[in-house]
Amino acid sequence: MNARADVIRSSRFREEREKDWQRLATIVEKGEKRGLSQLGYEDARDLVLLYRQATNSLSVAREISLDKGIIDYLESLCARAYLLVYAPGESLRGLVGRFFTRSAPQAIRRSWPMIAVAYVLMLGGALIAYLLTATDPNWYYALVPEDLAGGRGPRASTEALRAMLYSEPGGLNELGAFATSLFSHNTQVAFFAFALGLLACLPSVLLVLYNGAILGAFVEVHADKGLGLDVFGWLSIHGVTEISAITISAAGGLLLGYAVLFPGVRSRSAALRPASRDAVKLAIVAAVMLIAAGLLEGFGRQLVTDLWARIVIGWGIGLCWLAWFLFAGRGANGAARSAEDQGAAR
Amino acid sequence: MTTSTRPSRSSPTPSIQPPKAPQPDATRPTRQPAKRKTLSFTPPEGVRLDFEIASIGSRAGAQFIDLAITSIATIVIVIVIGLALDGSDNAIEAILALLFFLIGTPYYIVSELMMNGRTFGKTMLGLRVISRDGFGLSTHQIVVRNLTKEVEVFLPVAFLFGAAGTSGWIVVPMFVWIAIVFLVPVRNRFNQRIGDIAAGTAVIRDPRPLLLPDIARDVDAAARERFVFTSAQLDAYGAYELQVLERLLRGDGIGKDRKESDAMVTVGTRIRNKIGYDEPVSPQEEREFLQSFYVAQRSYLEQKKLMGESRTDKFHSATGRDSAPDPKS
Repeated sequence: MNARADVIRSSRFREEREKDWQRLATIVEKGEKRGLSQLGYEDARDLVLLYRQATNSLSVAREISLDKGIIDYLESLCARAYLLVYAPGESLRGLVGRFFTRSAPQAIRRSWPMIAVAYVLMLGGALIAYLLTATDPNWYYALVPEDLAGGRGPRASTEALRAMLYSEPGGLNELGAFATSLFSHNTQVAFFAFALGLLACLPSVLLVLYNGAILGAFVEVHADKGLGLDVFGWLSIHGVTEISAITISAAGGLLLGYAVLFPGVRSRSAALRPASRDAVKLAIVAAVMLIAAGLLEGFGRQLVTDLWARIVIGWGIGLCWLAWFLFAGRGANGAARSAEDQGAAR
Repeated sequence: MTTSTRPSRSSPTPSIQPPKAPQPDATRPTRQPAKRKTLSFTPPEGVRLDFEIASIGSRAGAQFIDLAITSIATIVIVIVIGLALDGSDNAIEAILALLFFLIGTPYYIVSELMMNGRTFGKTMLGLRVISRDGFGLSTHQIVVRNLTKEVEVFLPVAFLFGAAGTSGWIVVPMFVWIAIVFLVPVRNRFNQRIGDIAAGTAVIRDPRPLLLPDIARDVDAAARERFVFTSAQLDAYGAYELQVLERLLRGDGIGKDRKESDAMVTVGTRIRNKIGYDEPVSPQEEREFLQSFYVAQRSYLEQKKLMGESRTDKFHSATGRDSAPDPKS
C-alpha cells in the first residue's frame, strides 16, 4: 500500500483496488465468452465477491472521487458484471424439461375453466351449425369458406365424398400435406384466437364459435349421406389434437381478455401480467399440439386409411394429451417445486 | 426499484442539472441534460447502475442482421437437403415450412435464452436485452417479447415485401399498424417496442469497461512543488470545470483543427487570469501547470465534498456566501 502524502485520496483509493477491478473484468470477459458454467472454480468463487466489492467501490467513488474516468469505468464494469451475475442460470434442457414436466400441465390445470368455456363454445357452434345445415343445406355455403370446402358440399355425391375421406397415399406427398397444414387455416385460427383475446375476449369467442360452426356444417354434410362414422374417423386422427390446440390457445386468449375485462382492484396492465404467465404457456402448448397435429395430418391421415385404426390413433393420442395435462407435475414434490418456480420466475 | 432518466445529484456527469433554488439566468447557464437515454435501476446490491439505451437504428440493424443470418442459413440447409433428396418438391416444401417456423420466434427465444439476452445480430452490434426491474432476465420475459415479435416485426416485414397477399381492404389497417409499431419505440422513454413493454424489458448498449490512466498520478512531484495554489485560488472552480479539464488532459474534447498545445495554452491562460496566478508560465510548461492545477483542484474539491460541500460548477458561490462571480470567465 502506497500512502505517500502527495498522492491524493481518490488516487490512493483507486490504487488499492485497481487489481481487483481488473481481475473482475477478466473473469467477466471469460464468463461472457464461454458461459458461466465454463468458469473455473476460483473464478466462479471470486466473481460474486469481486462484483460486490466493485459495486461498493462504485458507491464510494461516486461520493469521494471527482475523477470522471474512474467513475465511468466502474459504472461500466459493475453493469457488465451485473449482467453476468444475474444471467439466467438455467440450461436450455432444464428449462424445456421443467416446462413439459411441470409448468405447462400446471398452467393447463389452473386455467381449466377457460378451457372448458372454449370447448363449450366450439361444441356449441358445431351443434348449432349442424342443426342449421340439417334444416337447410344452403347454410353450408354460408358457413364454410370456399377454399376450405374444396369441392365438398351438400351437392357432392356420396362417392366423391368417400373418395376424399380415403384418398390414396402417394409417396412423399405426406410431407407436402404437413407443410400446408403447418400454415393451414387452423394454425391461423389458433394464433388469432390467442392474440385477439386481448381485445376483451370477444374476437376469441367469435372465432371459436365460427370454427365450431364450420366443423358442424362439415360433419352434417357427410352424415346426411350416411358417412357419419367415416367423417368421424377422418376427423379423429388429427382433429382431436388440432381442435384441442385451438381451444387451448383460445383459452389463453380468454385469460388475457378476462384480465382486461375484470382487472379487479389492480390496474389493467397489472392484472394482465399474471394472466399472461399462464396464457403464454397455453399458447406454447397449443403450438406444440399444432405441430403434432400437422404431423398426424401429413402422415397419419394418408397412411392410415382404416376407419377404426384412425379412430383409435386419434383418440388414443387425445388421451395421452389428457393424461399429460391431468397427471404431470403433481404430488408433494411437484407442488413444492412449482412454488419454487413461481418464486424463481417471479 | 426506481427508474429514472435523470442523472442523480451524486453522479458528477457533465450534464449537471441546476439546483432547485431560484437562479438568475445571467449567472448560471442551464446545461442541457445529455441526449442519450439511460435506464437506471438499483440491483439488490443497493448501488444504482445506469445503462445506455440502444438507439432505434442499431436495433433495426440487429434485426436486419438476424433476418439475414436466418434466411441465409435456411437457404443453405434447403440447398443441401434438396441435393441429398434428389429434388423432391414436396419434401423440400415441408422442410422449408418447418425451417420457416423455426427461424421465427423459436430462433430468437432460444438465442436470447442461451446468450443472456443477445441474438447474433445483437451481439455483433453490442446490444443486449435486460429486465427493466433490476432482476435477472426471466424466461417468461424472453418468451413474451419474442412472441409479440410475430405481429410486431415479421407481419409488417412480410407485408412490406409483398409476401402476404394484399387484398385491398387490408392495406389501410396494415399501414396504420406499421405506423403504430414504429411510433411506439420512438415515443417511448426507453425505446421499448410493444413486446418490450409487455415483458418489462429494454434493449441496452452492452457496457464496455475501459480503464483510463489516472491523470493525477502522471504528475511528477517536482511540477507539483513548482506550481502551488492557495485555497482562495482553488475556490474559483467546481466539479464540472474540473472534468472539462480532465477531458482536455486526456486529449479528447479538443476541436479537430486545433493543436493540443494551443488548446492547453488557451485554457491555461484563462485559468491563470481567473484565479489570479501571477507567475509566468512558458508554453513548454503548460501541460505540467494544468496537471498540477488539476491535482490540486481535485484534491481540494474532494476534500470539500468529503466535508459535505459538493461544488457542481464554478457558480457554486452564487448560492452561498460569496459575491456573484464574473460571468465572462
